Amino acid sequence: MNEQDIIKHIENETKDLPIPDSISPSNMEKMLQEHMAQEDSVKDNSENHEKKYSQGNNKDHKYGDLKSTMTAMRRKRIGLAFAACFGVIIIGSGALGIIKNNNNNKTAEESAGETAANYDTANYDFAEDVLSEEQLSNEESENAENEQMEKNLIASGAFSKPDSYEDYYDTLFDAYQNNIGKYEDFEPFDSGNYVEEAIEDAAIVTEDSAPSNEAATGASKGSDTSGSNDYSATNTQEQSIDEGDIVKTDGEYIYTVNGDNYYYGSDYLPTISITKAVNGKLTDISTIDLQLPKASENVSYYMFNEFYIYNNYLIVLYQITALQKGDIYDDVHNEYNYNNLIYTDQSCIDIYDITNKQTPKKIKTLYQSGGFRTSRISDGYLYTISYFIPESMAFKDYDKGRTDYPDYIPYINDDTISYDDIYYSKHLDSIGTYVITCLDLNNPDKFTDAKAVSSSGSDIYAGEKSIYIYGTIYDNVEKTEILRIAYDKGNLYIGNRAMVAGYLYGSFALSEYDDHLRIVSTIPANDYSWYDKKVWTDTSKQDFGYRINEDVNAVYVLDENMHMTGRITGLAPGEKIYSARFFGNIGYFVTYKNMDPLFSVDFSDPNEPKILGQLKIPGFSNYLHFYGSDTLLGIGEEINPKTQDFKGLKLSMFNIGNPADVKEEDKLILDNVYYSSAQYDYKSIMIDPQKNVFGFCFEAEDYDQYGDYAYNYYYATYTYDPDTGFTETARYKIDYDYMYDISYIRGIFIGDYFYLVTPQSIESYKLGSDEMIDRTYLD
Amino acid sequence: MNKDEITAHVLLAKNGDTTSFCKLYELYYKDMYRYAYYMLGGSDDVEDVISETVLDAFTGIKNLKHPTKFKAWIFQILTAKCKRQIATYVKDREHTKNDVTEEQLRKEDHPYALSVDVQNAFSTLNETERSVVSLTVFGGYTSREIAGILKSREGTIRSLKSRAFNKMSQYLKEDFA
Repeated sequence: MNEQDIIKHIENETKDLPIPDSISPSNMEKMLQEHMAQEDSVKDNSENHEKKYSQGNNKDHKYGDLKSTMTAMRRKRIGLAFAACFGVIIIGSGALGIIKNNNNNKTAEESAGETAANYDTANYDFAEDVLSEEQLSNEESENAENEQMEKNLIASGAFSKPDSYEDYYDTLFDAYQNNIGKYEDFEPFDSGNYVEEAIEDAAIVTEDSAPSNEAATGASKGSDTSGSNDYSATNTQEQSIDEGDIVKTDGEYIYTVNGDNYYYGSDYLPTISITKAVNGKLTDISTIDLQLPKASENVSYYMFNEFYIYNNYLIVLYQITALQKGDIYDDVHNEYNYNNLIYTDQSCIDIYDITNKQTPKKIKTLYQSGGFRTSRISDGYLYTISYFIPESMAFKDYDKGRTDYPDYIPYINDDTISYDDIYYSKHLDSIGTYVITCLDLNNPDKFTDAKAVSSSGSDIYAGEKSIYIYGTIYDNVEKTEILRIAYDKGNLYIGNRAMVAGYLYGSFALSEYDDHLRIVSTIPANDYSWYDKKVWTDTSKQDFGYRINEDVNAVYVLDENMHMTGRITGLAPGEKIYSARFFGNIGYFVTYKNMDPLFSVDFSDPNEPKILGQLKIPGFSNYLHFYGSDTLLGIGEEINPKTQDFKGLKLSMFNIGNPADVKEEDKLILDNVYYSSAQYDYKSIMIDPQKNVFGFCFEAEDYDQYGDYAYNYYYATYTYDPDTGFTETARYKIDYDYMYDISYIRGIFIGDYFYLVTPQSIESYKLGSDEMIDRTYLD
Repeated sequence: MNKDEITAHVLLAKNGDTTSFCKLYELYYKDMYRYAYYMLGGSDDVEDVISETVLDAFTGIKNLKHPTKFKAWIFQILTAKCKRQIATYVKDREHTKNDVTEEQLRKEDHPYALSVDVQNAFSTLNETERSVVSLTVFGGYTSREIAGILKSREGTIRSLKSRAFNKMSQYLKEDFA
C-alpha cells in the first residue's frame, strides 16, 4: 500500500462526507451580509476607529455577532469554546525596514493597509496577534542592523561538536523542549538570531573543516565526455558521478527491478532480474530475490530506493521501517492505542557479487540509521545519505532518555556513531540529523567514514568534490541554507554553511566548478527583506517598491568556505527559474512568465559573474542538456505568449557557440502531448549526444477508434541534425498495467538496439525502428 | 473558474461584495469542510471553525496581495483556526472523539460510516502529521506549498508525510486488501 493508494483511498472514503447546510455558500453569504449590517451600525454608534487595537472589545464584537448569526441558522449550538483573538495583523514590519512605520499616530486600518503584503500567504501568523511595542520602538536600531546584514548578504557558519553522547542529548533535549507544544519536532526558524550567530560562527575554524582544494583538476566539462562505451548510462547531473536508478546496463546485461509497486514501498520485497541482451535477443539469466536482513525481523514496511552496477558488484539501496517497540494495547483504558508505536527508519545497502550472473551472491549488508535520501558513486566510493529523526519519546524523561543512546544517536551498522563524528549548529532547530557514510567499493567490507550533521536542508546536490545539502527556510521571507560537506576518497569533512535569498528550483540550480559553487535562485514576491533592498537599488533601475509584487532572480558565487564572492540580483522581475545548466565557466538558465528568456552567465571571474546574453522565445524549458560542443537541448513546454495557451511539449535546440548571442536553431512541438516525465525526472531520460540519440516517455491525448478521448503513453526516440533539425525516429506505445505512472519506464540502448523497460517487461527493437524483435516478461 | 475569473472575484470581494466572495468560497468549501472535519476528529466545532474562517477571510481579503493565491490563503487561515481549536481541546481535556468505534457509530446512526477507518487512521497521527496529510489530500498541496503554509521546511514535511502515511497504512491495510 503506497502513498498514492492511501491518498486515493482517503479521497474515496471521504468524498461523500455530507456537508452541513449551515456552511453552504448561500448561508455564508447571509451571515456575511448580516455581519456587514452590524458592522455598519457599530461604526455609527462609535467613532472609535482604533478599535482594532483594543482587542478585548474587538473580539467580543466580532465573534459576538457571528455567534448570534450562526445561532439563528442552526438548531444545535455549542458556545465558542475559545476566545479567538485576532485583531491587528502586522507581523514584524519593523524588521522589514521598508515601511515608514509611524503607526503610533495612525489608525489600525490604515497601517494594516500599508502592510498589506504582510498579510499575504506566507505571513498569516496568528501567534503574532499583537503588534508589540518593541517592534514599533525598535525600528531605528533595526535599520542599523539591516545595514550590517546587507553587508553580510551571505553568512556562513561552522558547527559545534558534542563532548559526549550525554552532551549531545542535552542539546537535543533543549531543542525538543523549546519546540514542544508548537510542533512535534520542528519549529519556525528564528532568522535574525541565526544569521547573526552564524556570522560569529564563521570566525571559528573547526579542526575538521573541509580541506582547501588547491588543485582544481578534473573539473566537469558538462556532459559530452561519456567515453567510448556504446551503451546508455543513467542520465546524471554530473558526468563523472554515478547515480542510482531502477534500470542499469553494463553493455551486455540489463538489470531491472520488478514487482508490483515496488517503488512505493510495500510488504513485499521486489526482485532484481538479470537479462542478457545480444543484438536484441533477450535471455533471462537469473532473478535475485531481495531478502530482508535478519536483524530487522519486525520490519513493517520496505521501500526499494535504487541500485548500481559497479564492476562485479550489484549494490542495492533500500529503506526499512521497523516497529521497534511500543505497546499497542493500553491496559488502563482497555483499548488499542496506535500513538504508542515507535517506528524507526533504517537505510540499508546490500552488496551482491555478480561475477557469475547465474548465481549472484550476497556478500555484505550494511546499515545506517534514518530514512534514505540519496546516494552517489564517485571515484570508486559509494556515498549514502540518510536522515535520522530521534523518537520524541526519548525526550519525555530526561534521566532515562539520556542513557538510552539508541533512541537519539544514529547507528552505523551495529554501533552508535562516535560522538566525535556528530556536528550540530548552535541554534538547533530540529532534532533530526543527516547521516552520511562512505564505502570503498573495491573493498566493500565496512564504511570508511561516517558523519552525522544537523541541517535544515532537504535536498542534495553532489558535485565533484563536495556534497551540498540545501533547503528553503520559510520565515517572513524565503531563503535557502546550503551546507557543504567535502569528500575525498572515502573521507568526509564537514564544511561551512551559507544562506542565500530565495529558493532553488532543483539540484540543477547548483553547480560546483573550480572550487566555487554557483547558484541560481528565485526570490519570490513579497520577500522584501533586509538583504534585498540594497542589492536591488544597486542593480536595478526600477523603483524598489515595484519589486515587492514580483518574483526576482539572483545568481550567487560562493567559495569553498561558503563565503560569497560575487552575485547578480534583480534578474528577470516577475519571472521565476524553470531550469539551469552549467558548462565550465558558463551557466545557462531559463526563466518564464510570458516568454522564455534563456540567460547565459559568465562565471570565469568568481567575484564578478556577468550576464552575457539572453534569448526570448515562447514557452520555457524544464530540462537543459548540452548536446554536442556548442548546442544545448531544452525539453519544456510551448506556450502561446499572447493567449497563454499550452500548445504542447517542446524540444528546443539552442546554439550556444557564442554565449553572448544564443540562438534557437530548431524546435519541435509534440502535438497533443502535455506531460512528460522528462520534464521532472532527469533520470528518466535516455540521452547520448555522441551517438546522437535521446528519448523519453510522455502522455498523449489521442482519440480512440470510436472517436472518444483517450490517454496513451509513448516512448519516443529522437535525433538531431544541424541541417535538418529534430527527427522523431521511432515512437513506441507503452503497454503496462500501471501506465498512469510513467516515471518508472526507462529506455536504454546497447549498440544499435533499443530496449524499452517497464517494471513488467523488456522489449527490444532496432534503434529507430518500431518493429519489435523480442520481449521478455519480468517477474 | 479560471484564474482571471478568480482574480475578478477577489477584486470584487475586496470591495465588500459578499456574492463574489461566496462564489470563491463555493469553489473550496467542501475541501475546507473535509479538512477541518478530519483535523478536529469530527467534532461539533467544525462548522464554527469554518464560519470564523469565512468571516476572517472576508474581512481580511482586502489585504490579499495575490488573488490567485486565494485558496492557499484561506486554507492557511483555516489551519490556524483548527490549531487553536485543538489547543483548547488539549487544555480543557474534553476532546474524547479521537477514536470512533463502529458500534458507537451505528448507535448514533452516523450517516457516514464508510469513513470510520479513515477517521481512525487519522487518529493515529499527531496534530502536525494530520495537518500535512489533510493538506495533501484535501488541499492538494505539494510538500513545498505545505512547508509554506505550516512555516516549516520542505524536507521536514516530506519526512512527516512519509511517516504519517506509513502509520496510516498500518491501519488501512486490512481494509484495503
